[in-house]
Amino acid sequence: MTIQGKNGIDVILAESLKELSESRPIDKITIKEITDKAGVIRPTFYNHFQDKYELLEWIVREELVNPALPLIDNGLVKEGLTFIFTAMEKEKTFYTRAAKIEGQNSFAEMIFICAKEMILSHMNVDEVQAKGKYDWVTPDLIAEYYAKSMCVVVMRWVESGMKVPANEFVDVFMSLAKEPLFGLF
Amino acid sequence: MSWIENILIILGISLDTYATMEVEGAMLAEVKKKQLVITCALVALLQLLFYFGGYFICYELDEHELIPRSSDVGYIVAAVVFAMLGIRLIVKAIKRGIIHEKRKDGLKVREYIKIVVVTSFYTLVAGGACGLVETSVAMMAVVIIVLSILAVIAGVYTGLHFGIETKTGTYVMGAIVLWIVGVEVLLVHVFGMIG
Repeated sequence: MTIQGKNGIDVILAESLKELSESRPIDKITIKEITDKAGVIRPTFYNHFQDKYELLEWIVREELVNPALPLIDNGLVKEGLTFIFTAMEKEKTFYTRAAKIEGQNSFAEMIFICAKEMILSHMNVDEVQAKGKYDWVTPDLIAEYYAKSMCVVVMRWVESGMKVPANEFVDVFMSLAKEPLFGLF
Repeated sequence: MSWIENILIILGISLDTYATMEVEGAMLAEVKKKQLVITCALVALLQLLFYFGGYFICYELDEHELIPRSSDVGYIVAAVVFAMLGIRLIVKAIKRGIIHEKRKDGLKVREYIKIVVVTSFYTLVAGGACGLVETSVAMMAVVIIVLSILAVIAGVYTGLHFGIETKTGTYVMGAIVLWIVGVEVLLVHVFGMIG
């Protein structure tokens, strides 16, 4: 198993979804198919997740975000991002399928929320607020701004089939994140 | 109409209820018995109200001889109901919109009541048809109550355990049964070609 599971059933359901996504779009996978493959009865699914998109979000957090957090917490941002994108590259088919989900449960939305939470949790909020000229420019707004731009780059990479190797993508990602807009002019 | 034709017309109407409840059941982690009982009672009551509403309207029209050749009209209307219900089920089978399976807290009346009321209009017309031909009121009441309750329970538990995967097959099967019976009613009772 690839996920550091905290709950056996959650892990089994996640693996089931990932296996099923090898052969069909995630939108077309039913809960019955997920539970059949996992070897549990259908009602069990709802005791763990509200729908398959919540399961997908669980996979993103357990497989990508949470393992990278200790690295990022200790200032090893590049290493943390390398972990995330390498993990995505290893499950290329699954994340490429996930990227095709549109609407309010989209993969892009999940990435955005996770990125925003990560930025907010590591932002020096007091310092940002002290520097801020206007009250309406809140840490939340700033985090959203950066999370949106990160999300665009990541989605472009995933939708292209992750043709660029993860290590190279991390280098580009880091340089884009550090470069101020007006430095490009 | 024969007792089997009466049962089949209500069965055809109940299949729509079954499919609606299947979708509701597919969103549940567990079935709360109290909610299930309320749903069964509500669906059966609606079906009874609409059926006997149509029945007594047409019965009175027939009693006052306001409908010429009422028996033939009744059988033709019954056949048309069978046909229209079958078409409705096939259209639903073909449409097959993607249903987002998402957990709900329980069976909520406002979620399914609209579809059940729409189905009940077919029950109204079926009741009207039965009011023009010889149909046992007591027997039909029992049939409606039993089949409505069975449709709700079967639909909810099928959805709970199997999801919505059987919906399309149910619709198609229901449509075929209804069309066969509709043709049979026309051939036997209207054109007198059989029996």
